[in-house]
Amino acid sequence: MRSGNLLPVSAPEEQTDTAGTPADQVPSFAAGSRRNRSLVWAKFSRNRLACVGAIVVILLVFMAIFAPWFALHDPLRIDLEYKFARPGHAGYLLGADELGRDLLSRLLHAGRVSLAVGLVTALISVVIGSILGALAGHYGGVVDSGIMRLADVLLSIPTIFLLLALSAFLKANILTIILIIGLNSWMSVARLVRGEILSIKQQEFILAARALGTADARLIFRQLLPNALAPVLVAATLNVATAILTESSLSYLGYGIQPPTATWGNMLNNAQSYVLHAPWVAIYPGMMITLTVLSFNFFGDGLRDALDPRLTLS
Amino acid sequence: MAQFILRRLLQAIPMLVGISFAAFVIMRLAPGGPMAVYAQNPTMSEADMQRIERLLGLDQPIHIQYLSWARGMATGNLGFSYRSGRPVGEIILSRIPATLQLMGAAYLLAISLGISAGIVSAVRRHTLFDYCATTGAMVGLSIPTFWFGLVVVIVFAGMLHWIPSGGVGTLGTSSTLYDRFIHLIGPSAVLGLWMTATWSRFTRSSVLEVIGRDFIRTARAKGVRERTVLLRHTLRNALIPLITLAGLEFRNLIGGALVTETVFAWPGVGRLYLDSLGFQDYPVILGLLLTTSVLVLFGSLFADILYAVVDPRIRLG
Repeated sequence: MRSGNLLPVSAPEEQTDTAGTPADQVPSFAAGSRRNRSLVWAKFSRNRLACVGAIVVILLVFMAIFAPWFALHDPLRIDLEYKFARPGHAGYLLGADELGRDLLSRLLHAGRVSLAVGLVTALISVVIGSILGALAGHYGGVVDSGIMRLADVLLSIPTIFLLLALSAFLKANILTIILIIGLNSWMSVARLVRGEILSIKQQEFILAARALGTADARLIFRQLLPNALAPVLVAATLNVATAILTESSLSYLGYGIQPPTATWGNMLNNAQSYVLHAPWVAIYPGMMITLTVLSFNFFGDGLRDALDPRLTLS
Repeated sequence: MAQFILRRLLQAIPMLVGISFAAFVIMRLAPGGPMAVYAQNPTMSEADMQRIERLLGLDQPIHIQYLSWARGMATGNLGFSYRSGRPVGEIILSRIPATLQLMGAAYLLAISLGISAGIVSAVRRHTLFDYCATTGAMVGLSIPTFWFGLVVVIVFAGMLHWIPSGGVGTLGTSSTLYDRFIHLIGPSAVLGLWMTATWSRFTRSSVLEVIGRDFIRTARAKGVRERTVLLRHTLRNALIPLITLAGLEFRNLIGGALVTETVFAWPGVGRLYLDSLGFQDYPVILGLLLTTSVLVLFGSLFADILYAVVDPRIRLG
């Protein structure tokens, strides 16, 4: 649903191909030197929202890893006697759902699944996007237009429509959901990497490497891709946010990860029918999604500003 | 200009072929393929199955099948629904107005609220308003649409009774204009929130980019009034790129509409799609995948052409 939209919503003109720009004007994202790194850190730590985002992300990951220690109940244990137990009632700190399952335990365990899906999906999209983008940028010609037209076609089919059909046909489970979201979110990364590579391709150190007869693979992985690292890192962070949102929408609609495995999305699956008499059951999972996505977005946004060489400390 | 439009239209043709091919391949992934619905029927014999297969042309090689199917598409024949037997095109057309109404209202909200918030944010940079608006926009981008919809239903329909909890009109009454309007508020606000957030962020950075240019400084140095600098010099340049955004956002908006329609029981194409998935009504699913993709394609095409009309640098450059 929202893939791609979280990517640089910055000034539109900076995103055009920089293929024709003279080398000396091209901002280099290389975060190589130590001085550079401390400047990035200085810019990032000044951004309060980005820091809060990073801290919350770390806390959420910590919470997901140790979920079984924090969860007081078995997230799958059904106890109809405590159906819709109110928060705080009979040891259910956050109440119980329509089957009397402990909400707190379910939220914690669901967080594991939702975060794992988000992180792995982002990783897949970055790996595929980097490789395809690098191939397109490096080789140009038929390879370039083939890859970029494929991206264009995928970017024309509304994500949620495509994903719903795929997950309905492929028997949705965690693995297939990760794969189909990942295979549908590499396009923005590919465009980004391609643009970066086009812009540094003509710089002297690449020409020198070529003149020395460096093999293509080595040139791509050792010289070109590392220089595109910074924007890719930002895109990856924002892709985690998008993937979590996408997974939750699919699961809410009943075509994502299937019960009894809890995810924040499928905990809201039946929410519609009882939302008016047990609203808390529907409130928590959504708050967790919003908190997680917001933290990744602030983190990614801060990272982008910090890594942008054109912004100086002022 | 005519040459530019023609070139863009020609570029859309391979895209159309690509989209139709992708949709066709996806449908081949369906369990049991197009025959699944017949296989579930216990009264069908093996011979019956083969006869239907031949009748539908499913015994032909795959590229022949694609070509004959594509020929049907090109002439507007999208096949017939498994569920109701009605033509797919007719079913989809009957649902499009509801979705367009919803999306139109969301666009209106996003354009008016989002752009004004973005402009004020940029002009009054680093003020309390800017801080609240940018943070608020980020929150708007992070809230899952379906959950925000549920919260709106809980608060405004369940607790305050300001709006109805779903549907396009009160059942059993002849719907008045007011009745329809009050039903539209909830879903369009939910769908529009996230778009408003995107637009305000985009507008803000676009205005900031233009405000830093030399010609703005020149205008100020000449003594042009600040009001004129903002309206005539800055906004005229800063708002042009938003045309591209309107085209790009179409895809996300139609996806958001699917979710919003589910929460508010809004009878548009999104609901039709989910219902068809539940009934394994493959012709309708395929038809909707294609229709929505083609709409997205033409949305961005239209935005590109409009951009070229407004900004001559694009078509001549």
